[in-house]
Amino acid sequence: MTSPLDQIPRLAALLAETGIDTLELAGPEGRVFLARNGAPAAPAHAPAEAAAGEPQGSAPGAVTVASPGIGAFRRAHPLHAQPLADEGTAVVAGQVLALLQVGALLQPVRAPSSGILAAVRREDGALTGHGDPLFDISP
Amino acid sequence: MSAPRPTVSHLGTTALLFEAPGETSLDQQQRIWSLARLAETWPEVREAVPGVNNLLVSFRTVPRRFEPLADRLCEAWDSASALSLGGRVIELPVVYGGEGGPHMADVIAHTGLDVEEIVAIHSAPVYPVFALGSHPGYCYLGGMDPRIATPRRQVPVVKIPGGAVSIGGAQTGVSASDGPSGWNTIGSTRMRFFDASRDPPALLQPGDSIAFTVAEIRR
Amino acid sequence: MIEILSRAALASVQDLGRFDAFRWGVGLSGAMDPLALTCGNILLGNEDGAAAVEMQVFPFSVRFEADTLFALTGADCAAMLDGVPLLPWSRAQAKAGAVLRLDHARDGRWRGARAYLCVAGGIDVPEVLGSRSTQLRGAIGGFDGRMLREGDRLPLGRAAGESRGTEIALVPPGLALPLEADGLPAVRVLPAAEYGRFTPASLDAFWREPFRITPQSDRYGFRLAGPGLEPVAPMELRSHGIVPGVIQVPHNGQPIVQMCEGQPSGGYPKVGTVIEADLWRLGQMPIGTRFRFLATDWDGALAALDERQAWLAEVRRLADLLSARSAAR
Repeated sequence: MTSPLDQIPRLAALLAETGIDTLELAGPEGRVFLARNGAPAAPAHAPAEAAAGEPQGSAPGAVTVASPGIGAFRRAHPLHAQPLADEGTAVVAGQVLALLQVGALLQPVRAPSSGILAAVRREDGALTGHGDPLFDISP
Repeated sequence: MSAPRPTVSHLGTTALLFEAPGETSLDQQQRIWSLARLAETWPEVREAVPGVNNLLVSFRTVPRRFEPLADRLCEAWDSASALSLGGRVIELPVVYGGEGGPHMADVIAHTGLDVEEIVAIHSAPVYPVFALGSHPGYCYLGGMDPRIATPRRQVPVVKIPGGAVSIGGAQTGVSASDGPSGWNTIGSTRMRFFDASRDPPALLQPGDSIAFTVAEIRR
Repeated sequence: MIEILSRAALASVQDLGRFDAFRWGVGLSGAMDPLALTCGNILLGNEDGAAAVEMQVFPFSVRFEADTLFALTGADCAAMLDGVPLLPWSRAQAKAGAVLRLDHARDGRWRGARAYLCVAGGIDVPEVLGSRSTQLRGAIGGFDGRMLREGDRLPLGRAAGESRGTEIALVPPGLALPLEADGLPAVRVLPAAEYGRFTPASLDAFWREPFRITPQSDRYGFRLAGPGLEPVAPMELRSHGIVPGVIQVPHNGQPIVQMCEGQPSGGYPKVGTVIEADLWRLGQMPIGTRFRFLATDWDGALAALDERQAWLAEVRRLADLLSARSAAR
C-alpha cells in the first residue's frame, strides 16, 4: 500500500495544478496534511476517520471500500443525475460505485467484492484522501 | 481621384480574405498570384490560396492583433506586380446540353440566347485557370463572356457528376468529382483532374488554360 | 487490427484534418469534434492528432483482434465492452477478441452526436497529402477514402511506451466549458465580409432568435431553419476561399454553416464565421437541436481559443500526474 508520505511530491503537484487548497491523507503510518500558501496550517474540523483495512461497517463482516486516490467524492457521473450505485442495492465486484474528481479528471472507485451497498461514508462533493472509507458493502 | 482600395475581412480566427477592388481581370489575378507568393514567406501564414481576384490567407499562428497583418497585406498589394505563370493549354471536348447539361434551359431563359449561341460563346475563348478550389482539382476559370452569365441557383443541387461544365454568375468551371453545386450545368466532359498520388496532385494549376471544344450539342 | 461489425453507418477514420492542401482544392476534413479526438489521444499518451474512428450513427460495434488500450470520447453512448459498461470519456483495456458496442447517444447534462474511438498508437492507415483524415469528395485518405463498412479491418499503430495502468476518465468539455444563451446551447460568431450587406432587422433576428439544425445536415454542412437573412440588395460574388464555420446565405435566406467536409471555396454571401474554438460544439449538436449564435470580436475569439488551450493543458498535466509512470516505483 502506498504510504501518504511517498505521495507528497505528487500531491503537492496536484495542489499546484488545481484549485484545491488543503488536503489531508491518512494511512497506516499516520496522517499527512498539505496546505497551499495562505491556507490554514492545520485542519479546522475533526480529522477524517481511520484508514481502510479496519472494518468499520455498521454490520459485522461488512467490507469497507477505501478511497483509491484523492479528489472530490462524486456519487454520480457529472453527465448524469442518478448516482452510480444506490444505498441498499446489490453491487457486483468491479462495479463503479463512485468517482473521485480532481479538476478535469475522474478516477473510478470500484467495488472490491459483491454484496449490498450498506452505507455511504462520505458526503457527495467531500474532499477525500487516499484510504478514506467511502462505502460499506455487506455480503 | 484615388484608386479603390482592396478589402480585408475575417474568416473566423482561421484565415483572412483579401479582395482586390473593381472589375475581375487577368491582370489583377496575376497580381494576386504574386501577393500569394510573398504572403507564404511570412511566418504566421500557413497557406495563401488564390480565389478569383481574391486571396485566402490561413494562419499558422493566429496573430494577437489583426490590423498590422491586414495593413501589411494591402501595402504588399500596392507594390505587387503581375506575375506571369507560363502554362499549358489543355483542350477539353464537351457534350453540351442533354442529360449532362440539365440547366441549359435556365441559361437560355436567363440570357434570351438559344443553345447554339450559348455553345458558340462558351467554347470560343481560351480560359486561364485563375485558381483551384471548391473540391480537389477544381479550376476556377477567368474570361467568360458576360453575355452568358447566369446567377447561381436558388438552392444548390445535391449532386452534380464529375466532369460537369457549369456557369455560376459571371464565371465558368468544370467539376472534378461528384458533389453538390450551386452552379448551372450546361454540359459534360471526361478528364481526370486530380490524383492524390501524383506530385502535384492537381492536373491544372494557376497559369494553365482550358480550351473547350464542341464534341456534340444534345437537345 | 480492429474489425468493424456494423453495417454501413457513416463512420470514418479521421484525425485533426488535412492542412496545407487547400491550394489543390482539398478541404480540411478531420473530426467534427477535434476536442474529443484530442482528449482521447491524451488519455492514451498518443500524439494529439493520432487517427481515430469517428462514429455518427448508432448502435455501432467493433471487435478488437488483439489486446488493445483504447479510449472513447464524444457522445455518451452507454458503451459496453463484452457486456461490461464503460465510463464515458475513459480509457480501458480490451483483451483479444473483445467486442465494443456503442448504443444510441444518451440524454444527460450534455448530449453529443458523434463518438470517437481512439487506440494506443492510432489507426495506422497511410497518410495522404499529410493527413489520415478521410475526404469523401476526392476519395482521399482514411480507409480507402470512404465510410467504413462491415468487415473492414483497420490496422493499429505501435503504442508509445507501455500501457498506462491508472484508470482515468475526463469530465467532458461540454460540461467543463459550457456556453449557453437563454437556456440553449450557443456558438460564437465573428462577422464576415458581407455582414453589413444584410438588413439591420434581419441581422437583429439572426442574433436574437434560435436556429434549428435540419435533417439536411452532415459533415459537409449544416442547413439551418430560422429567421431568414435579407440582403439589402442582391449580391453575386466572385468565388473565394472559405473555411469550416463560414455561415453562407444562399438566395432563400436560410443559412448554411460549412462544416469540416465543406468545400474550400464558395461564392455565396457570408454573414459570419463560427469561431474555430466553438466548432466542436456545433459538430456535437444532433439534428433537431435548437441553438443560438452569439456575436464576438477578434479579442473574444482569441480568448475562447486560449480558454480551450488552457483546459487541454490542465487535462494533459493531470493525465500525466495520474499515469502509471508517476506511480511506478
